[in-house]
Amino acid sequence: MAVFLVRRLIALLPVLIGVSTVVFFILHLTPGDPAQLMLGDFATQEAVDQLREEMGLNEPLYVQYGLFLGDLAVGDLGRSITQRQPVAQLIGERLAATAELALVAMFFAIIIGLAAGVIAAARQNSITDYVTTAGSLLGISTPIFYLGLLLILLFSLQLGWFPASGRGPALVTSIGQLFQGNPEPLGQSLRYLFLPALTLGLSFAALLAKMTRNTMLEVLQKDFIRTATAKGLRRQFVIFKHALRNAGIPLLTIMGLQFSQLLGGSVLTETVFAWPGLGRLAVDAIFARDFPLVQGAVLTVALIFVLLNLLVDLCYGLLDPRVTYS
Amino acid sequence: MTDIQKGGGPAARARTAQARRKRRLPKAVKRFTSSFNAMLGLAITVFLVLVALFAPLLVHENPYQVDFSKLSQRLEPPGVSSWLGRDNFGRDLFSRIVTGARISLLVGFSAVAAGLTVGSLLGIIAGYFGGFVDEVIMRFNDVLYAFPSILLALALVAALGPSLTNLIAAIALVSVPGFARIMRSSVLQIRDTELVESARSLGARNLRIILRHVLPNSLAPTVALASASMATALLTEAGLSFLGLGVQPPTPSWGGILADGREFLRTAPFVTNFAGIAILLSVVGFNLLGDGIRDAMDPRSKL
Repeated sequence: MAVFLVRRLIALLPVLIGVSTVVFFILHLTPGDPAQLMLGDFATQEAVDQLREEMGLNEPLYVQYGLFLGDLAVGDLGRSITQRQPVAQLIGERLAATAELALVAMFFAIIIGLAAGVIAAARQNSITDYVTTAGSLLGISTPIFYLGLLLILLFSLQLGWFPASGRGPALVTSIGQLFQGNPEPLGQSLRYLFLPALTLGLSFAALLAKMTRNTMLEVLQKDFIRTATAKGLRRQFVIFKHALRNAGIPLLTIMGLQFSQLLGGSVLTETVFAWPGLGRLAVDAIFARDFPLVQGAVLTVALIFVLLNLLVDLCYGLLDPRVTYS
Repeated sequence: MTDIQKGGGPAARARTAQARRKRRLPKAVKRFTSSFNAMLGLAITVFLVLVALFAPLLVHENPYQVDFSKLSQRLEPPGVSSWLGRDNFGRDLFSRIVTGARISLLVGFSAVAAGLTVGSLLGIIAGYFGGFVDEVIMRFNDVLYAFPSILLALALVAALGPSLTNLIAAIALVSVPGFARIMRSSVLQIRDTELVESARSLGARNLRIILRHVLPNSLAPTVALASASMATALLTEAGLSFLGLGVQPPTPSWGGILADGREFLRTAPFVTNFAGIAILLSVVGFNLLGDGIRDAMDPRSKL
């Protein structure tokens, strides 16, 4: 297991270097002088020169690239231009908010999407199947920011049940408070979390429902399902114990690959709900032309995606005892 | 010896394979036309393309400029004078949404066409030549896959500056890996078959083999992916325009109209809703069309 992990981590290196190279060169493609762009048209020449010096823009491109990779290797993402703080620190502050949002969204997505997909596959070509498939198509095709606005319109503006924007106390802190006998912060956290997480979750659930239905239909045609049914096992037992378990690995793989959709969706969801996460940080940084911050945020998101897919590989063993990591 | 007795030499075998491929097409068309979903998708997309093509004839007010005499009618709900109501500058929403269709489809089609060309070329090169070239191209693909597409497009547009061309370039880039992957696997499937071997033994050059044998075989999955990519491209464009980094005002785009309507969600939700419905409808259309083409060409594959 340890050997497998080390080997996989080493195999990640080229991808990570590639990812950082792409980010570096995209942001250095900028036509014109980045320092001038960041400071705006009214900046004095001295200020521009100073920023150029500070950002190392006077060095040749390959030296800049080398320095960038060197800093990256020791976890130094540079300094934000607008906020004058280390990028890594700013990202660290926002990471918890995005993780909280993504995890709760994933929870919604798995409950709704998996259930809908399994039911649709088990009753193929029934009314339930048609309704679920149509719902999933609509969900996949609805822009996530529109879905968010619809939910705000209904649950905040019409019914007034949930706040339309912002974040309550951090979920982890609230859970800690709960154990100390104070349930109030948790309610507050969840009230703010509900709508953005539901938006992100529903849109991922739609995708998950479609993938679950297709994978389950494929597995349900296999011989061992016929054998199980012929043995006289109950339909529910066959579906949950035999089929779902065998659909697990392909589903998990697709979920891992599609996770970047969820991360991408969080950029828009965070903007709609003014959720102070990584995605919003990236968007704000883009508008402020704070390139080191954009670079750091984009890199972090890509890193999360790559690590998550490694985690998915490690989970295969849990689902399928035949998988060994040697 | 038996081969020759069965049906002739390599040339004849290549011809049989081609004939088989030709026979497949009518069946696929039949499967496509008998599927309700596929035909619905086709109807929606044809409708959209017609609206986009004839937009200048449908529009009855200037969708770009603010008419100051109509400023008093701002946020007027749908009615006789304006079918879909007016936006916060008093501009006719119908004219803006119809013109927006033109812009969105233009961005989508151009981006998918560019992504398809570059991606397919990379896929062919990787699959056909294999080895080190394949390794480099596919690792580059993995790298592009590691970014959520909207974030990569955002970073690109941010660096290049928001303009229609840069928007198209950004959306094209994020669609490259999908096409490269599909084309590469099609090439790998056919590269070592007898069909290609016999063509080569007859002296066919690489280019001819690719054009005559490899491309026709990869047409089905590529067309299906192109339609699905159109759906994604429309969503990405809408997302970028919603954030203010896509199509720039006063040019109308569905994402931009939706974002403008956000401030008036309580008093004039129709602005946001009509733009949202336009995006939703077009994405549903291209998704259904893509699924329909894929199912018709290859009834077994479902994912």
